[in-house]
Amino acid sequence: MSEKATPVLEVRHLKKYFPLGRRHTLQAVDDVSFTIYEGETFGLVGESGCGKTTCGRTCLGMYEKTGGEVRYRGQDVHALRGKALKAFRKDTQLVFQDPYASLDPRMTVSDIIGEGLDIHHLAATPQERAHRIYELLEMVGLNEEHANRFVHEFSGGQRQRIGIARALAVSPRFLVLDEPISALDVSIQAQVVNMLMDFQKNLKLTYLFVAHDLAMVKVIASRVGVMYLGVLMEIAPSEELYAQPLHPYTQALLSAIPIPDPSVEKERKAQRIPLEGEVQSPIDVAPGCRFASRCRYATEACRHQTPVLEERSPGHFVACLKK
Amino acid sequence: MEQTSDLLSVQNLRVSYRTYAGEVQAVRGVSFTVRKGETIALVGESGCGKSVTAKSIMHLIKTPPGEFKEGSQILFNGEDVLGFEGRRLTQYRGGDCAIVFQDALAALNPTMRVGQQIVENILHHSNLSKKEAKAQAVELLRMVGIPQPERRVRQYPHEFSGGMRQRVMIAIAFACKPRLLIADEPTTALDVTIQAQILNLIHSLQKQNGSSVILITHDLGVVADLADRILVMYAGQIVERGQSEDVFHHPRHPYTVALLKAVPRLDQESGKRLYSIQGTPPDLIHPPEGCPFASRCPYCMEICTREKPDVTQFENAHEAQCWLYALRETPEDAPFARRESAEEGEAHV
Repeated sequence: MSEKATPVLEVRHLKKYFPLGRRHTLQAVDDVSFTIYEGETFGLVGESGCGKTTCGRTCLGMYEKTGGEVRYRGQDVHALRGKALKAFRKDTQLVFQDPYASLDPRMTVSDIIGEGLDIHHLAATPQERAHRIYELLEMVGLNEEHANRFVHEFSGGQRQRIGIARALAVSPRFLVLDEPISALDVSIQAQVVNMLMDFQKNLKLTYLFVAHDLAMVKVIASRVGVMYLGVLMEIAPSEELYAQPLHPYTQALLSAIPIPDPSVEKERKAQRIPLEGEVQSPIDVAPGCRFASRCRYATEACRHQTPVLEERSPGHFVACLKK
Repeated sequence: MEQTSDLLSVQNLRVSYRTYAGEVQAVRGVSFTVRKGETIALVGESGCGKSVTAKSIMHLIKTPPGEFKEGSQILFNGEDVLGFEGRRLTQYRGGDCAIVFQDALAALNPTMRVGQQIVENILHHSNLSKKEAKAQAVELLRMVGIPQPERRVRQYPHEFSGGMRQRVMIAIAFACKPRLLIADEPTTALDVTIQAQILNLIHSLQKQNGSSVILITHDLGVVADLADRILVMYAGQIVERGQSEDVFHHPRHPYTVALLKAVPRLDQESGKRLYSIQGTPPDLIHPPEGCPFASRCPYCMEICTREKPDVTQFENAHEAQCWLYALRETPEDAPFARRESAEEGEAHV
């Protein structure tokens, strides 16, 4: 890659298989490689079940890998132990998709946000701890009064703000945002996305943004990777991906997104690339291109030969046999 | 609008729920009509009362805790739906009028084979024998695009994927060729590629049967190419209504304007901040006296917080409930329509 920026996260041929009994394996992530540079937002998109969440979590060492390598600022994430692991966990944080399931209903907001501070000994005195919690609450648009409440008293949007405050409490430098807005209403989504973009600028954060909403990813991400059935199909700078998608799957995916404008929509409808059938099962996948069964350009070769990511233009990688 | 072509007419619908915290006024005076063969979109965010409106039309509101207020009226082909009882109600639900829910897994019975669930509906509403009904169930599954329907009728809902389950729901809904189909967020839980398939399916079945459709959603993109008319709901009331093109191209109510701007579009530049609506919708236990959107509206005036605005009519049966127009003698463009072009660069801030 031509950029001179320092890589924060380097993922090389990462594999994550889940054994299902003795005979079957679920290949959630299969040979995925990408690099995230300092200060950027890397968007990881795909349909449900394509392995994007598993990929995000494996990058943070929450799952043991099956193969390949993840390096965070040069260190092998899965080899970290003891103090180094603790430091890594302070440096990287995760924001979850479901703001209802990811916050403990028996803890007050200040305990939820303060837990990280306690674990990493970031507050010397109770006053300092309380002060930091209030500061975080204000950062995410809540206030002091909310600190002693329980999460059930908050709306979905407010809960997601608490989840973000918890992640920011330990002053991380790298965040994995796992569909942080897909459970929220349209008007609230915009609030949260704007807030995340502000934090990135002010706190110099690097994001891995996992989502299925391609339009939202376009807003927040500078580079985007498209996943299908555990494999990265295409990586490109955001503008370029949307203007010139090269992979047939990306093309179909983009054409399926409705645009809120009746006259544009009528035109687009005629050009829509219909995608027949559904995503095949990730259990015991056959060799060859994983998209072959739904691809309109699929040839015999696609069913045998597995395409690898290759650079077609600077920064634009595609895994497809079609030239 | 000719009275004869109205299939459904909802007049001054008001629904409340009794809770420990007080009376939640979920729907506060909603009126609209649905013509034969027409597709209407009911758009709004969660908690705005769109699903309660749908359930009221299906007569699915449990009373108590729910309650229809004085003066609420729902007419289906001239008949009073809220007065239906016994056989007529069974006939109406599923026969005249069918509903597709958002969460197909929760809506289907997990202990029954899907074929049986379709057969059940057919037997309820026709004189077919069991054998004929079973054959029809297979045909229905084929019609909604489920491969190997002969094998699939004997499977349980958990053996189907999300998109396939939604197809089963649609098969059940269309089993008796309803004249009105209510689709309550039919694609919210699905992926975009599957979403396009399901919407196409609903559309083609509607064409075949000449049914009317009420499409309920929070996603403005979904309704853009399907809906003939759009009703925008906020805090239990309809704040704007009109032909699809009019609402998208000339939104009148500040809420509609904000909602359209808040949705990220693929044809927009990346990296820019999104337009966001500050604050949250009002609490419907104590709904505000004036305009419900007043607290979040960038054009809020003093009168907005005090009094409910009147409906202003624009051309082409386009209506909005907003003081920006109601105060003027002849309706004209709201300030945002004119300011928009001047502040193009700032519009996203």
